Amino acid sequence: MISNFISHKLFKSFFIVIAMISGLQISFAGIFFDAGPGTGAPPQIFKNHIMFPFAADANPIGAAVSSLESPTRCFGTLNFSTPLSHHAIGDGWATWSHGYTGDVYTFVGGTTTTINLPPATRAFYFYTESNNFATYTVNAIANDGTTTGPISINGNSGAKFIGFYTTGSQCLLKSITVTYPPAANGFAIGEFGISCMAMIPTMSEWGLIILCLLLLAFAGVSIRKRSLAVPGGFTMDVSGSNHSRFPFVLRSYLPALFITIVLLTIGLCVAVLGYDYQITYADIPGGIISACIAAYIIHLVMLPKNND
Amino acid sequence: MGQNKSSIALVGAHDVFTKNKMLVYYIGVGLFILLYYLFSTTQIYTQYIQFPVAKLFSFISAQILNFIGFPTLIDDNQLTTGVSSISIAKGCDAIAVMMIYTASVVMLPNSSFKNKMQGVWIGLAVLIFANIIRILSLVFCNIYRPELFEFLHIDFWQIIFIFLGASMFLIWLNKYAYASK
Repeated sequence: MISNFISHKLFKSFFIVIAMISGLQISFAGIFFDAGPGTGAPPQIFKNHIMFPFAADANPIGAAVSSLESPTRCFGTLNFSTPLSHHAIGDGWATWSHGYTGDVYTFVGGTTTTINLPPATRAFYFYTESNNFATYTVNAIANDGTTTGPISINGNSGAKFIGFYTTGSQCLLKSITVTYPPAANGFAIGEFGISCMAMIPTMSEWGLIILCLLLLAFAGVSIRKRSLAVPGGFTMDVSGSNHSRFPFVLRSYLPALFITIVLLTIGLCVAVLGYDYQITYADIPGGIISACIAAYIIHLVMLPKNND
Repeated sequence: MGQNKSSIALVGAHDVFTKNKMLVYYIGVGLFILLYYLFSTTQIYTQYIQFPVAKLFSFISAQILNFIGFPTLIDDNQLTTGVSSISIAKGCDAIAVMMIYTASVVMLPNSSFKNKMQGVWIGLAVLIFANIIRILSLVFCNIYRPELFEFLHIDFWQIIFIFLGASMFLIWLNKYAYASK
């Protein structure tokens, strides 16, 4: 029965459409750079992501710091490839921009450091400034090769915002490497902000998929109920038919659900193993609900008329 | 039970007819949404649809907030009311929800153009209204209960929008989709 079900051309065609809809986000995802407010104050929302600033650092001033606890929801630490020296503006580091007076992490004499980000990072920003009081060209590059390009930053109160964000959870931010020219005689980075949540528009990807599947299911029931076979072989549409009853046959639904869950699992495995996708907290409930509704739609298509 | 070969064949033909209708509908909706997503990645969409729509939502929300005594500034799609600042960014404009709803209505077979248009306009009006309520609730939440902001934004309104979209469609299907004069 299951092999007949899988080989059915309607099933195949339908699943291609569903896969196309579900896969759209994957097709257009990537990491992007945004210069944000420049030397202005950081935004609360950066490219649809609610940003969480890092808490004040409890490490003593002058201590070498190689990791920082990230704010709530991010479940992990931010690491520096090289231990950086903890300072504050006015206490070991002279200037910054937009009136910020908090923690910064300095690398005097150094030219580059890599910020390794917590898992599931979707957006991250930081400010940076050179050690010498002059203008230097800085470059930052994310884990997928997305680069800021050359950015001019003034070492005298010119700390600039550098922000990266991702448009899909399958291409998360993992690291950012900052590089200064040797002439800058080192640099400082600080004022970090992070978002580890999914993008939170009106509805998430799963929300949209669930809504779409629900509407398809309702419409499928309606189309099915309106078409009646009449003696003589004609088909006619009847207005005012009763749409309140949802046809459901467990013995057709279970194989459909089984196939849907297997395909979803295979899809997730391919995404995780093949494309380095990190499963988010929304994937499991979203996937299960979507699979149940998708299975109902498939069962509806497969259901013979006399099963109503 | 009174069935002969010809009646079995006719029932089979009917099954194919109904299933094909369903399939055409599903593919139609899928293509509609696919085209929308492809279009939404273009600069033209961002510049001439997404940004103006976000700006319109900001403007309407700001007018309501000003009217009820909460002085609000708008800067493009950014709403600032006292300490609360909210940006209506891409995706916060409910366009995707509206497109899915519109695709589901427009592609339904055997419904008249007039009925479809009625369904689209009423449905979109309700979704737009709900999105304005959502924006206002988020502004007030950000002012008075900022700790609930994430819950409201991520969980509560998402469920409301799914419920609203599905309910609107179901009501239209049952009452208006096939209504005649």
